[in-house]
Amino acid sequence: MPIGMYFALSAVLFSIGLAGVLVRRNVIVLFMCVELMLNAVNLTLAGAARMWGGPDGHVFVFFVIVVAAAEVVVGLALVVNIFFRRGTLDVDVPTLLKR
Amino acid sequence: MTPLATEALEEAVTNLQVLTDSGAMSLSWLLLVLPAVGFVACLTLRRRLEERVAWIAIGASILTFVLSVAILLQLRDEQASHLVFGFTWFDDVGGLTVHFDYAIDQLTAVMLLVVTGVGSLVHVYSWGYMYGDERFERYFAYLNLFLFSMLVLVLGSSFLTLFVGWELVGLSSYLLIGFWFEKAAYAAAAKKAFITNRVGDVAFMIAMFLIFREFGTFDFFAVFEHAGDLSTGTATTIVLLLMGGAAAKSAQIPLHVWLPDAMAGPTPVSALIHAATMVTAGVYLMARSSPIVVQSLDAMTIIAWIGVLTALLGALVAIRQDDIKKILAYSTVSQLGYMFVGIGTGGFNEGIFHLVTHAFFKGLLFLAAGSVMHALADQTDVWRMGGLRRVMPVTFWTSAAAVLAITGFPPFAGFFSKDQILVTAYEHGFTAVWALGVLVAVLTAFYMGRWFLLVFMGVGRWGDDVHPHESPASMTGPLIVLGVLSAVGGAALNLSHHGPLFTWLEPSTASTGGVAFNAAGSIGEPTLVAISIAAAVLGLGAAWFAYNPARVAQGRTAEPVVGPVAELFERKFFVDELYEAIFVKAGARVADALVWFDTTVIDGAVNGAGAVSLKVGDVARRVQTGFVRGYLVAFLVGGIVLTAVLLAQVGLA
Amino acid sequence: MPPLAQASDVAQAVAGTNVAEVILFIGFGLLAVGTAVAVVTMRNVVHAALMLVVNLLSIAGLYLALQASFLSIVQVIVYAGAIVVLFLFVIMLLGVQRDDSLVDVDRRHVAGAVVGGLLLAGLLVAGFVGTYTTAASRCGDQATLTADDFRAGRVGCVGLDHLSSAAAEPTDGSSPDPAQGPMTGAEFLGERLFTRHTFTFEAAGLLLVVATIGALVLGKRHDTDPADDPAYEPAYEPPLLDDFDDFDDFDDDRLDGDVDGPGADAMLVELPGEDA
Repeated sequence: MPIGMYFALSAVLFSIGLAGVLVRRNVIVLFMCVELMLNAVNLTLAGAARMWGGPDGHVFVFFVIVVAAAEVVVGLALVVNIFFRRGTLDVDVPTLLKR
Repeated sequence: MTPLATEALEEAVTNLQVLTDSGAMSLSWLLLVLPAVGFVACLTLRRRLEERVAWIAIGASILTFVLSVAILLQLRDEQASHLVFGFTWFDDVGGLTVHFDYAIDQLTAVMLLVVTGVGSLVHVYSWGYMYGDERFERYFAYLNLFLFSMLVLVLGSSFLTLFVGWELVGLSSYLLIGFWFEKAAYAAAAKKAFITNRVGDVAFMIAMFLIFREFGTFDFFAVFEHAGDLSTGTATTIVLLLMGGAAAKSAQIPLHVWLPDAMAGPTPVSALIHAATMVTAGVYLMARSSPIVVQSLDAMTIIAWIGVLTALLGALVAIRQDDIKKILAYSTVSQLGYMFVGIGTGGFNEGIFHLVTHAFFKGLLFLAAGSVMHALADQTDVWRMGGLRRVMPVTFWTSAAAVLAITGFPPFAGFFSKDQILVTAYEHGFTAVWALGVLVAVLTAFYMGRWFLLVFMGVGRWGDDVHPHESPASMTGPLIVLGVLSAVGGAALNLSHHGPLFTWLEPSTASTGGVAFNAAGSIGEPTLVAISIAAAVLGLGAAWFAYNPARVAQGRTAEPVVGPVAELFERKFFVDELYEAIFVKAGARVADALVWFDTTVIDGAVNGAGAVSLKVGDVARRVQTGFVRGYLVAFLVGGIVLTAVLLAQVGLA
Repeated sequence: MPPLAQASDVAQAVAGTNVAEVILFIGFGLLAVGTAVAVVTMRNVVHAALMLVVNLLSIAGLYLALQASFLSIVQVIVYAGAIVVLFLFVIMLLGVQRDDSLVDVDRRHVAGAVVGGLLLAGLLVAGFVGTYTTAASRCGDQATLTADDFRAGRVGCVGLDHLSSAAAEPTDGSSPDPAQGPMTGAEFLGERLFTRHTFTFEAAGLLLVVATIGALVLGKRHDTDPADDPAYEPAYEPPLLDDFDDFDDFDDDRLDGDVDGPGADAMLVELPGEDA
């Protein structure tokens, strides 16, 4: 099977995740869509590793997973904080970046 | 041009005797150092010595005079020019090598005597005249500065060093004219003098550039060796440009406007600078450049006509002036015109001779006017003077000598010099110039007679609060010296065309043998002399007729010109108004346009840049909505754009 | 050799193509896409999280298809096992209601997102992926590939499992120690991780430490208003807008009416007790 099919699948998953990021207003679901995107990228990397026949792609995936984990931890901590300040998980409410 | 110039310079140097270690010549550097020391001393030792610093200044000027006499005597014995090396200023900068040397030849010696002699007399006179002025010491500093500048000018061995002195003299003149700068009018007069001189300086500089282009050097001797190589057109241009500079410095048409206004300065300044020395710098320049001048008959003709027209204008205006110094100022303009007639008609030596005699009698006249003003508490209106004959006898007699000299009455000094100029003009074919010169002689006699009659004769017309008295010895002493010189100086120096002065000056000025003058008229020399004397007598007689004491006392003076013509003369032919309309107004309009440009365009651009950035900021602020998903959309768009660009680069491969 | 790889070898020898891989790919692929769409569209957050879990597991399956077995296990353990659990914990903590309708009902936004997504996918597929979908990029022939081919630079779609064993054979010094025998994929990956990518590894470790500390600090629960807590002294507390007298001459007219989103009132801090 041509290795490009994995890449195409990954592209589709990435786009779905991106659309989800744009559409959803719940912060937690936003995060989950970001995870979708990250996984799509991981898939691409693994496919590339398969294609080139080296372990470097796998190493890359490894690190992406590590970073994603760290990011989720910190991000969710922030989400919790914001929830306790605003009382809502709506991503449109915090507009302190205005002006 | 450079190889030619270095050859010329070497030749010139070997032709001269460089004798710097014998006699007075070895001390010639003192000529420059002494006034400089005086200048510095007057400025720095003011507090310590107060007015006694003036003695240093006066002493410096007298010493320079003594030195000049010694130099003259040595020069007469040795009969050779001297080139004294100073220092090298530019050493082969782009082909230009300038040595700050000075040269002492016969012409220089004559100028030295005039400058230091009259200068010393004025220094002594100033002690009495300026005593009590609150800036007394600074005045003497400026006087010494002027002396220094004039000596640099006269001693210079190249056009460039002459120009340095030229500019310095302009500066000193500015400082001295505007000495009482509290009066705005006086400061304005100083500015006018400086600016008008500057205009001439531009012409001078362009002439120097042309000289450098032709000869590769500024040095006098090198240039004059090869003056014959000039084409007529180039020579004409150079000479006319030099004349432009001289016209500014010596108050010829059209740059004469500053001299009458310069009477704002103290009277000794007028005597020194605007009668004897600075204004004669232009004449000296042209005489010094005589080898170039004789290359172009056209330029000489123009110079002669400028001279005679200036003489005419000065005389016409003078007959309608009422200020004692203004009359003398316009008289100076007129007499300088005579000197340029001499230059222009080939009579270089005659022009220098008139320069010398003019220094005598005009210097004396100004000092006498100063004496009168000093006696009458700075009164300058001649209609309020009169009857000073008995009150100020020394001033009276010396002024009489000066007036007779200036009108060309034999055997006083002016007769010889003015007459010889007119004779030379006639003999070199400038008949029209000669005729006008005779007319000017009549007018000169007339207005000087008027001056003398109104100031000294008749009964006093001053008020009751004025108590005139004779001036102190420091002022009358120089008057007497100059009076004697005005009386006998002319005859002593040069009785005829081949008198001692002319033979003395011959080596340093060019001969006019090769110039193709027009044929002279048929009138012989004795007849010409008689005509000159008749002109003087006619003028004096007319003055007596119009302004004799009886008529003045009755108030029935017979004015020679009345009505609009008189107005024209009195208002100086409206030249100042004309210049104002043409140059000043136009200049003001240009300045206004530039101001408009600056505030509207340039400031507008700068302020506009600020306003634009503010507006852009206003618009850009809208981007910061704080709307998180909006930012995410921006990410998406950016991502798409980047992908597209990458694809395009890779070629959609 | 791992059983899957063995099986695929057999299948390939039989069918000329790696049937097992194709089956796995199609199955898990469809599952992944479907659950991804579900995550994006489901209203209930918990349901969305569960769909995410299935999606992650399907990705793990795809890793298997790619013969990266170590990676698939890591995916399951870390992603599905830890990260999603964390998500669920937070959802539980915050008590999101079932009828929380926070999907954007603005049609324009949805349409835009869909179009954008399609556009991006299309661009990526057309641009980058296209070349690799031809028959020449077919993976296979692992059995014929030797270590020499690998070292000579010839690449084929070699799974990690095959690679490690192939690389273990020759003895010209550039390969891992042959005396150890064939390595597992994890060993091969680990060897690369700790030699060439050591620095990144250490940095990732540091990142994890920092994230942990950050999470601890951020996750501190404030029952009361921080200002009331005498032990709590903020390093910097930005002043409320009301405190500024200078802002009286702030030209609000310029700002009103043009800007999207909540007005200036949103600058005020709302305490949980006062609202909703």
